[in-house]
Amino acid sequence: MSANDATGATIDGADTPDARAARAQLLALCARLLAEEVDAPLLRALADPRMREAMAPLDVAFIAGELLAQGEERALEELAAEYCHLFVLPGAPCTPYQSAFTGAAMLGARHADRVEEVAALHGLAITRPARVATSDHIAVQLALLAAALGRGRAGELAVADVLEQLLLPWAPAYFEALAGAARLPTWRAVARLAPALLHAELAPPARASLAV
Amino acid sequence: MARLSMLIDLRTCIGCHACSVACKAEFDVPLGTLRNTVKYVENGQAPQALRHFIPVLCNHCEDAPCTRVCPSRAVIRLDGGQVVIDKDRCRGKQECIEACPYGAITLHPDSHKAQKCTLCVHRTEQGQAPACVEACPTKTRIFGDLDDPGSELARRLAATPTVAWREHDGTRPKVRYVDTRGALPLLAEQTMNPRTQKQRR
Amino acid sequence: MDLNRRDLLRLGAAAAASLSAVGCAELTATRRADPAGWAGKSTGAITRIPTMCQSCTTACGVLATIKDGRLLQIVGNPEDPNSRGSVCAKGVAGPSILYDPFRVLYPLRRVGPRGSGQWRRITWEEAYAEIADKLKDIRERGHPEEFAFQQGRNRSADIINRFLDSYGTPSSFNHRALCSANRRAALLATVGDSDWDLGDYEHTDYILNFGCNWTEAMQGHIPIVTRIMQARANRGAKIVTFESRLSNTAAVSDEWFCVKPGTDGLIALALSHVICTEGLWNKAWLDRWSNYPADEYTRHLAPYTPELAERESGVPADTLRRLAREFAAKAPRCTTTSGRGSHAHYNGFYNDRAITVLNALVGNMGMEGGFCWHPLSTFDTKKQFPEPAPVPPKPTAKSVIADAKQWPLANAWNRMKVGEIVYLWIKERRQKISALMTYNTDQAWSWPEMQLVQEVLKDEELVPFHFCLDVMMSETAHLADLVLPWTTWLERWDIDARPPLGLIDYVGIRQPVVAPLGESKDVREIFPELARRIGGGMEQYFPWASVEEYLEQRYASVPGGFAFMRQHGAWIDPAKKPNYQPYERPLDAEELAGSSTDPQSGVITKGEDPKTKKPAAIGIVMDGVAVRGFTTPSRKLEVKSEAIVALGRGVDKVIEPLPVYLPIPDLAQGLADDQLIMISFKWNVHNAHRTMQSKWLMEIVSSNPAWMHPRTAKRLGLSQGDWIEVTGHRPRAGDVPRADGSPVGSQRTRVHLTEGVHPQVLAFSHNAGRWMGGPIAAPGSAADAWVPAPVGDRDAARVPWQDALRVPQNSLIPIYPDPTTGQQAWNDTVVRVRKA
Repeated sequence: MSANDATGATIDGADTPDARAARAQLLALCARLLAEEVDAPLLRALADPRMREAMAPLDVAFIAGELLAQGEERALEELAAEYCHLFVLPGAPCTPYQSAFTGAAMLGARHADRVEEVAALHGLAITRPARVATSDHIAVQLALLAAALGRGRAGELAVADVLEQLLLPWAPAYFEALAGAARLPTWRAVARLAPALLHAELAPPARASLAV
Repeated sequence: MARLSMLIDLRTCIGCHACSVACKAEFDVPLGTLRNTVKYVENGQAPQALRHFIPVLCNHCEDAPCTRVCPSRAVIRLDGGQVVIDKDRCRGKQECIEACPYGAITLHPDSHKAQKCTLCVHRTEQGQAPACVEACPTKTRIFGDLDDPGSELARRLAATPTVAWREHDGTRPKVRYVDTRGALPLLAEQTMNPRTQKQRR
Repeated sequence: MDLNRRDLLRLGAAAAASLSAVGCAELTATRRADPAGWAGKSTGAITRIPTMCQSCTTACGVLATIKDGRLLQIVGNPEDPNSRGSVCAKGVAGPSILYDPFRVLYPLRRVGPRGSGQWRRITWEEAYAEIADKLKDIRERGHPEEFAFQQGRNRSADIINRFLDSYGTPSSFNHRALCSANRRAALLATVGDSDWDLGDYEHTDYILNFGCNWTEAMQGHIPIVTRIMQARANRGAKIVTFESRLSNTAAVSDEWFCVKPGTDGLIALALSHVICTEGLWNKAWLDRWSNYPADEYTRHLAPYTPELAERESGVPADTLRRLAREFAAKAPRCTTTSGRGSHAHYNGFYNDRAITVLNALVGNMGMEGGFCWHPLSTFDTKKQFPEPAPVPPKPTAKSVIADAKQWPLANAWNRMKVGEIVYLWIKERRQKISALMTYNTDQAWSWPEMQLVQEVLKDEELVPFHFCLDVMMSETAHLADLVLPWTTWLERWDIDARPPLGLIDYVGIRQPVVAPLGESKDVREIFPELARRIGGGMEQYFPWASVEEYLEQRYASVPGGFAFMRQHGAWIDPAKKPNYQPYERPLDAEELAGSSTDPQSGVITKGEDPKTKKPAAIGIVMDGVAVRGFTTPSRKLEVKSEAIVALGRGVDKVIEPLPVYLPIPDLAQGLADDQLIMISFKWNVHNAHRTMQSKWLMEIVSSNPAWMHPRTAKRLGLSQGDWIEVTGHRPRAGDVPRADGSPVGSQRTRVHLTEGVHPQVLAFSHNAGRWMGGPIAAPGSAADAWVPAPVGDRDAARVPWQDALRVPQNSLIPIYPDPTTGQQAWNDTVVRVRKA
């Protein structure tokens, strides 16, 4: 596998507290963008020049200039329509639930159980926002990884478990689907960032096997 | 030691698939794999065209080839005579899948281990009937101990002639059928799941 | 490296800033104080909550196994007097319906043109505001009839009628004519007491089945089939089926006769002919209860010989004689069953009249083991379980579509209406519609001539506003302006019951077994809220604070009340007796007080019928004794019905007073070489549009190839699996709208050759052919489709449902109302078939 695969990028995987914290924040941001529609405060934060500057190395901005030019109300509506198209509509190309995405007969079920078991095992509590129906939602899994990462050394086992047991079996394929289906840069950016963040947590030998 | 088994009376089966779906629900059985189902077979010509409904499951054979061929010794027989897979021992070699003449064993797509009917041992040891038996609306399936003469199963077996599926394969299947229309031989060439080549992982 | 350390830290800081902004989702995973406290899924008590299935109309009582707030399993509720602990695959599949991975869980508003599939999520507050606004506007303009409500099935009639009545709209459109209008009308015209016959199957010795498929479908199918199988096991009951294909019911029958569609009535008349001419009837019963002399009926039956029936139907004359003798010999412990096979035809009303009267001839009416019924098709809404006051008055506004006046029997007894003409009449601008609500139906897929329905729904001038309440993004929801997430039957309340097979009425309860998923809601929550927002007096009819409070009131007469119902699921009054021979019940002194008797007819009247303003009949004097009789004008069993003749005359239609055989116009001439009669059927694992989102059920059936007889295939040069083009045509028949023989639509599909279908018939299941509803309900493309392999094929067990055939049969079927009741003639479509 090449260092720069089609969907992801590469991110510094250093094991220092500030690098880990930064990656955790990015994971949390990806989770937030997947969990719900973009609201006005988040839109402003994403459109902020400092964010645009920080995203420059990745060659993508969260919000396109043309969209911002249409005004906040219009921009939010378009983002909401795109969010619905990608994640909400039945049969959406990027249904965010692992159970639905991988073709299970029931929403949640054994996939959600797995997530809750891993979380419980490592003393992580899940607080699902109102519009996330079951725990196998990609946002929940990313948030768990972020929280585990935030623990530093103490979270190493949790990080490994969340990656191996929960995310790696399906997330690479998920973000590839997202990269293909996303029409606005907001979620194209997530499709680039998220796999790179997962990749960054793998120990060097394991990185080679992330190829999908 | 008991010999738990089932009697299936084909006179009252309506092919409704309540049993098929009950098994799916009980174990969240992956799609494309069956542990229990109802086969539909047709024969005859109009005006005598016929269709038969034949519920099938693992026969928990008395001389089960699956118990003999497993290199990991993961296919075991419980005290009730049920043949089950020990998930911790199974290494997914698929010898059992190949060996079963009924196609009763499949590979679980998540764990890549063998899976099959357990005669719902987790329910029967709590005094509950297997899921498929409880689900059947016409009470076509009778579950019980072949060695208990007082059981409804034994009494029904004593009262009516019964046959087994693919008896000629010699595995001594324990599931018995009341088959007044001679439908079971129509299933002779069929299996529950296709018996394909060993799947590459 | 795209993000080196410095880049990473900078981006991380920016991310942190955006996350701290107000409105960030609370997806925080934090360290739990006591990790050891979590014991996993193996702990937690299991509870079994009784409720009533709604995967089909039978509404079997079930028990839901719940653990840690999750539904694990559905089994039958032994306390349900109808199903008595039995349930079928559709009910057992409950978890896969509840947890459908592609369920609509949040309100959606369309953001592009109708049918473009562009939506955004909105809140319930936004949805309520928009709907209430629009409905209020229509009502305040003084034209409440412009608000149309389209239902399919409806087990919540109490709350729905309350909302529609308090709103003032008569435009409540239903599915009855697509279902069973002819059968009901036949029974009402003949017996009067009920619109649904309930054979006493458990105690019968002989069943003649005319085109009914009770092993797989039909109202009551599980309670019926379990009793029939018991009669077979315990009494050696014999089952004979007349059916144009080998249904599962035909398969379990002792004898199956593959009949030409639309000839069931003639078969019943021929059997009647034999019974009458050979004196195998119960003459004493007929002399007493028939309103038409037995000898005259015999004369009427003269032309309906077994030989004629053989020529038309294909059943040998000698066989018909034998069956007639067998049937009569078992009387009174014999009965018939009938379904869309006999009545969903142009001549369907007369077919079922003939079948009903066949029973009268042998004196099995109301007898143990015979042809029975119950006056209550559900629980007693008037006396035992009254609705809380105030009850809104019926609307005074009129709906031309609901009145459907040109079909004289559609609304003669109950408001059955004519569902299949709704969208045609909207298109023809016979009634202005300003808003439409779709509830528990998928008319864009389920209605005949679906293309017309879709065209009308897309038209913003014809249907300016459309909101759809459903669990899935159905074909109809796809064309709406607002889609509201509905609860499945596992998440809602109803007071409910079905026609009782034990012949004693009972009451059941439907209750949520889990909390509603996502933001799904039921009409019991939505309608009171809308009523409050619309206001204008509507709100007074919804005074209860919660659904529970409402149900407490309604179940007050049950010993133990609401609490008992929640625990047991059903209640039956132990003092009540089965409804055998209700017509012989003597009237008591209280009933007779203030009544008068007509000296000629013996009919006893008392008071006034509120509908007709004429004296209300309550009974009849028979041999000097005042008895209840039948609920017909003559108070006798009406072999001859003057009432239906009069109703027909009112709209210049000729309706025959006696059962007759009316050959279907298109089929009377014979068919060309490339013409077949297309029929439609249901599978046991599916029901309309509400089961196809279940992967477990789709794993069993997901395709609908065209069933064809091998001889027919040979004649057309077709082999198993060949592609064909099927074109459905409108009929050429009097009294049917647009009956010009023109093509309705064409579809490509593949043939499945089977001996189990009539050589002149092409049979399709309607349980496939979806293109919406999620990836499970609408699988794959037809490009490389799977067709069931012939018997003996080792690989016949494989069902790669991703490659299923999807043939939307309703694109081939014309809108085809029977001239009397308006029943949709599902099984009369003439199709042209050619190799494709």
